[in-house]
Amino acid sequence: MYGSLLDALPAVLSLGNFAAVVIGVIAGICIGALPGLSATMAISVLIPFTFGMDPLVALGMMAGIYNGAMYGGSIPAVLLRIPGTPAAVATSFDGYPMAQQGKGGYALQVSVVSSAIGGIASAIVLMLLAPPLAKVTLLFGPSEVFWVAVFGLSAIVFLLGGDILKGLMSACFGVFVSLVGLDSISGYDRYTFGHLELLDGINIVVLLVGLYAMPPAIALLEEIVDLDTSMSGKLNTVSLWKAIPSMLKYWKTWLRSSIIGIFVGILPGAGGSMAAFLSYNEARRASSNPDDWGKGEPEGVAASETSNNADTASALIPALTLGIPGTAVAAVMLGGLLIHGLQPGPMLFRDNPDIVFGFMWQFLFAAILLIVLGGALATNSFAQVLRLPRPLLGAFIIALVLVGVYSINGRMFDVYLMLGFGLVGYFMDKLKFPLPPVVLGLILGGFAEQNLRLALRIGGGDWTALASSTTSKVIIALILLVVLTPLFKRIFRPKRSLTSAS
Amino acid sequence: MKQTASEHGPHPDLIAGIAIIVVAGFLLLRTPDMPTMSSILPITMLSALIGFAALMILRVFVANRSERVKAPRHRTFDSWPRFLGIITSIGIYVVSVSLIGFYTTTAVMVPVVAWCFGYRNIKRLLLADLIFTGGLAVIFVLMMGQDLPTEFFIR
Repeated sequence: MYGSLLDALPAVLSLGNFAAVVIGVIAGICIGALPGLSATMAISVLIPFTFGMDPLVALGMMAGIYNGAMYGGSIPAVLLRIPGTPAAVATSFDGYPMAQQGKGGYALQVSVVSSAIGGIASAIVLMLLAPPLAKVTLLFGPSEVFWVAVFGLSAIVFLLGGDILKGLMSACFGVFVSLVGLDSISGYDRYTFGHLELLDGINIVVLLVGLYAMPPAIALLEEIVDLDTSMSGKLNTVSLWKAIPSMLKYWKTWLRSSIIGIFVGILPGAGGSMAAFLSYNEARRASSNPDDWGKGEPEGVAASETSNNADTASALIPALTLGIPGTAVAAVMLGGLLIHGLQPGPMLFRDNPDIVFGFMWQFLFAAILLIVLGGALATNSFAQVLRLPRPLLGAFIIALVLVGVYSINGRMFDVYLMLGFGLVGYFMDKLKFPLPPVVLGLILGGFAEQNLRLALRIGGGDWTALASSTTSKVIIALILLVVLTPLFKRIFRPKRSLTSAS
Repeated sequence: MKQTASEHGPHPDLIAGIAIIVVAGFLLLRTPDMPTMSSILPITMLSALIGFAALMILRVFVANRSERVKAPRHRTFDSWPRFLGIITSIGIYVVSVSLIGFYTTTAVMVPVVAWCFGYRNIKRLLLADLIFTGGLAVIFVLMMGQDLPTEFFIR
């Protein structure tokens, strides 16, 4: 089982593949450092450019961007108290007070070392857990696969938090988009409105770029933000290697936060910010000086950054084995796999072991590279990224998404479609409709429909055949648990608060 | 508060709900022509969308009378005129790419858009434009051999 893991290593160490990871990490740190831009957006913009690339080169860049951006988000969180990514909010609690005390450089060093440790732990768990899990899922038939798809959708809607009603609508919209095009079984064209370009369905990249890249680009031009970057030039850093010995006392926090981050990453619907908050709270509770937290305690930065990077590779465990992404970034990465003809799920491990295991190695190397590339000198340079003018950046992103989407099929129709999704994404974002369920709906919708119809055919049209196996019953029970738990919580919460108030 | 819009005008969820019902209802009208098996999921999804949108609208009305039910008003635009300006710029950019070519349009539009939306350092703008458009040309023409909408002067 793990033999394929070692076999994939030489290809990953080739110059081209390794360079892709290095470029990805650097790009990821820069993007993460820019408030308003996220790893999801960066990978969405990148995907169309990877069409002509070798799959491992493309995936290496994505792994690098993901890891780099999770650390990069801490740079403005520490220097300006503006988290570069949502997962870096908890980092600003202690990172910014440290910067005000003239210890901004040390805060960033704690952040980069903790990020690397979290990322390494997460990549190792991905390598150890994904292959056996994939073997188990090989035993699934069409009805089980259908229920797994339903579970994935319900988990992301109900565990994501926020407005469940809007989450459900987002998921329905995503599934509906997946139905556009020629029905592969009956041959009937659904919702193409006479456009031949839609017969093959809506390309996932067009949707991803529209939903995730256009709204931030519009926001960069729309919002007038005057960032005070004066702090970014005064980091007062010493060499990272000299600073590491003073951080070794945080080993318990690194261990605890890695476990929390990995666990949260595996859960569909949760994400880096939840991992960072949970980990920060737990570390503070375990600390001997909880009153100093929030006033510049380096351990707070360590807790938050370890867990938001420990969430990265582990989010790919359900994505690679079941085809259910745990986070928005994982969903976008699944899109990246799909455009290279790689169908996530158990078959991926059987048919393309070199690529899937190579991808896992790339996650590990990306995490290690954080220490090398995010070291003292580099951190000083990355902090300068904050000085980039936002209107120029917005204009660049719009040009990049246009050229990227056009180059998929060499036609303007995809660009118009992407702009349409961009506008929908903008309003969804503003009205707080969650975006990950749309992507997951698009990925799982067609997949679920195909397996539902296959299961019904096998069962002679009998709907009860869908729940006849024990595995199906277990998955249905899990779906009910995921759906009903938040509802019960919502019903009982007001009663409890009323009781405590009285 | 940034997240909360003013209380004037119709609730954004109300407008969104009505728009969803109208669009989903229109799409639902096309399902009777489909084969039964092909129409199962579209009917389910569109009906669910209509149902959820109706619930969202209902929630807006109930929230006005009840303390327990909440329908927060989220601000849709940071600045109406800037939003319209951005959409117009993107529209002009896309149409110009089709009409006069990708590189010419990008070389003109990137600095113009950045200048219009607040970055007024002309020297840096032109330098950034040269690096960006030149970089794209190197990637797409030399490295990838990818054809982009042709320039009007070489058609």
